[in-house]
Amino acid sequence: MSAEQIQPSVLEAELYRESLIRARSLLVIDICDQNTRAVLFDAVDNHYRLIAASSKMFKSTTGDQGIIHSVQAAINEIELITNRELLSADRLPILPTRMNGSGLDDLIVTLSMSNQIRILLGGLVDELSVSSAEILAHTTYSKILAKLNLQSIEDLLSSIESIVITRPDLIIITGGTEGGAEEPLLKLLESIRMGCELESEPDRPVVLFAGNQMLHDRVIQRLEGITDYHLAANVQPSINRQDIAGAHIAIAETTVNIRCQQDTELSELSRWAGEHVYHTPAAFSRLIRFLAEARSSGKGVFGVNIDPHSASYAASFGGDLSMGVHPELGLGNLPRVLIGTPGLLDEIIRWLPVEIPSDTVHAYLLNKHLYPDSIPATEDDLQIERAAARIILMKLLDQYSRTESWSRSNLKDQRELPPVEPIIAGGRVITEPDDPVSSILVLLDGLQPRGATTLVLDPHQIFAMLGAAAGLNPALSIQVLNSKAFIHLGTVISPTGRAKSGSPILRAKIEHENGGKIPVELLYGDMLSIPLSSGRSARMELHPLQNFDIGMGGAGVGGSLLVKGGSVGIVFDGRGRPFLPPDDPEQRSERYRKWEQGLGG
Amino acid sequence: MLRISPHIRILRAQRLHGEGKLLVHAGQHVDQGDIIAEEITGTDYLLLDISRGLGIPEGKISQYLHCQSGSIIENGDILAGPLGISRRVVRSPIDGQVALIHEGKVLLKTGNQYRSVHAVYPGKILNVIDQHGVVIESSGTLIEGEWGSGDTATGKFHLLEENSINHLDDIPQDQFLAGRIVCVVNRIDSRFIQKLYDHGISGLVLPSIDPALVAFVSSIEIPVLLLIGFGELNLNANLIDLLRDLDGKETIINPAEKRVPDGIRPELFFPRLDNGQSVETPDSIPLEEGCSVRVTNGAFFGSQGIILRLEGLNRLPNGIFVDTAEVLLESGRTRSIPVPNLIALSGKTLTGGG
Repeated sequence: MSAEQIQPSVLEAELYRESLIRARSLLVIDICDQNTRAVLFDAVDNHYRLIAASSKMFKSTTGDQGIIHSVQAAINEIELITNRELLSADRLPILPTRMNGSGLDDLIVTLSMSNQIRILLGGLVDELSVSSAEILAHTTYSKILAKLNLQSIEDLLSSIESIVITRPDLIIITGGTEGGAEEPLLKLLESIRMGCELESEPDRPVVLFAGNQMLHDRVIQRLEGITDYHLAANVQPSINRQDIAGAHIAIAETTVNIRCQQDTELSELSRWAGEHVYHTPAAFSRLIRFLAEARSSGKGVFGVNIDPHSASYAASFGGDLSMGVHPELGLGNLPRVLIGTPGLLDEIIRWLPVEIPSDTVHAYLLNKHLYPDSIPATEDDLQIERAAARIILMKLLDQYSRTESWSRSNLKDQRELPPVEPIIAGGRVITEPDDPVSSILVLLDGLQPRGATTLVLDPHQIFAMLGAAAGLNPALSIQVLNSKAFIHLGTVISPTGRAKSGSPILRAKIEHENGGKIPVELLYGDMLSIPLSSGRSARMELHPLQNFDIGMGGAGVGGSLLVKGGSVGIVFDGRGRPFLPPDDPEQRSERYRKWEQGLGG
Repeated sequence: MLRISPHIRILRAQRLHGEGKLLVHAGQHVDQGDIIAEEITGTDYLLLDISRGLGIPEGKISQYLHCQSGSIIENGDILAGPLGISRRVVRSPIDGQVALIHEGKVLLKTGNQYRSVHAVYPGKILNVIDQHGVVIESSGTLIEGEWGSGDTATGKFHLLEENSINHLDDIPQDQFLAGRIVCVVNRIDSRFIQKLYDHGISGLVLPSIDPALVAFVSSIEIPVLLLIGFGELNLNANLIDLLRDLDGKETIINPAEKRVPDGIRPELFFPRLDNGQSVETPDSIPLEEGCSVRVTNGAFFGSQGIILRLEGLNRLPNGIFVDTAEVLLESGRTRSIPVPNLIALSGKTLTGGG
């Protein structure tokens, strides 16, 4: 077992050779809710690197405060940083690169705008296909308007009315295991066809069919010429199997198409990029899946991102993929949940490493909702946001634990993260300030991984960009992933079990590359770190005590592990799993101080 | 409160949620509350199974049908038939229009349910948006707030500078305060809000509320608008003076949820008949030295000030690296504030809360 780096070395070598033959510069433009980010990647000394990044606000979607204007302003800034001409006289990107070095080889656009796609769900059984449709809907920025099931299908008129009244952008139809029931789905299609026909053509919703694939011909027959439709792999191919991996790509593409249809400036941008426009969460999950497929350890890969307007996760094991996009869990949107969820404020306060009055925390979060893109200016404000981030991570795990992919892990505790390596995390609330110990604590508290894993930060928010670029230039994605653009925090060992506070639960021996050996004893309730810098590795012998489980084959089973270093080194989390900090604020502050000291903070 | 514009022209779009019929045209003047459109809120349909009615398979009914999509039908009209010796027919049981004919069924649209759409603002219809709404141009005093709940309402503005609940007891219920948009200068609790509600006020304007009251305030059936935000945030003397000048004037409270990209904010608007001096500016004023700003996060949330100097990249006490600006706050203190936590106010903005 080894804590591998985040890229497969064999594949990298192959792609690296290719990159030496033809290096291509790439500009990625990410359109967020109120700002545009532009990031330039190019080869330096035969390695692709992040060259420059810029961010510009936009105040409206069109005009001189609009998206195109902000994109041009962001590119202008990159021109200034790199002293390289990227825009032509008519303010269009120069594509491809010219002999004088100006211009770009490739341009990609990613869309992170969290304004929601209005979705109507149609399936057969609430607990199966309708539930799968809901999970599928949550792979994009979605607002679910209504659900149609077997009972509502029987009432053709009410199904039609649901479409006319809710006026969705998108209808997702699931249901029918492969070779299973056809008649109810055909009825549902019938009502959707009729509902669409009642709308004027430009207002007709797009239909995504992700049900019984035997019906594809009949879907085409019913919807051809009526409205736009997409056929995707069945999300519920059998009663015991849910698989969104195929359909989530279709919904991502549909999201991009709907956005471009609704917004002329995005449509223009899409033309600039030769239609290389990607849905950011889908691009993020694409790279997570790619990394998981390339792994040999049998573990999965997990990624999270928290921004002011949404939070998302992606988890992949082998070829399996789960992902969720949750606008309601954006740091600036959480206060809305706060209003309707008694006890949530107390939950957040429970994770505050410092004592702050409850009404101060409450007021801060509500005011954050008014200005989601503002930043914490004081230490207390930062701690409030990070406590909220811990809860957001837990809620993302809650969502993940509702997927069948999670169920297949056969885990006992809800919110338990299956064995993953690495965990990749993005979002200012996790990555800023540059304080690795605080970042580690947020991730370990929120996700509570068990056994051994590695933690990687994405401070420039480029992971999804690299996912989008992977199809066009895989060498670039892999080489930048392995560059200093990402912060490797280190390897974390988290034993699971219960013991008396202060009693030893793990003994370890760390053998450095230079032969130096360090013995470690981890006490229950403690955290400690052993320095091992980025790029270094060490061999570690682990001996769990008191029947603790370190993910090496069961309770009390130890073994040898090759670990990679990072900015914190090797971290031992002896707080047990699941873990809750002390309820008493004074005790809690004291513990957090101690843990930070243990981690070298 | 973000901004006060005492004499300004505003443009406000009112869009229909779905299909409907506009009853006004560009150039027309409307008063607040005038009906400007009839919006379809629902359509009544009747599904008739012709194939079952005639007793023949779906594929064979086309030769017996007497209607097509779009046909206007009256009660008793024959839709299909006659068929066979008994000369079986299917008649429409109701007046309507054929919406669809599909696989042996006829879907009849039998009527629409409508809702009247009233003008929120008085003024001139500047233009009509593709039969889906109108843009109204209006003049007056605009006060933009930070948070709102409930629906739009109108009434006379009443400034309440007294927050003693006994004071409210002295005012007879259903008199004086009833129907008014009441602005309370000081912080009040839920009992006070309930008491105002019991007096029949039409809307409530507050500088801020205790965060614990947000669920309560969201649940009451009158619009509520917060001028500054959540927590202990008070109005300054300048603003209170200005609000005093507005006492007794007709106002519109629009607690629309803030949507920055669309320029929508919760607001109070005091219409005037004369033209405003300038059209409302979008939120696009660049942050530069000398400009008036409001702080949107942290200890100085809601405070106003003037940018003395853009300081460039700085490390905050919490370790975050960010562009900061040196700001002279209205309290007289100078503070270094992260630029992302500042919004520029218009040059015409008066000093408000803090």
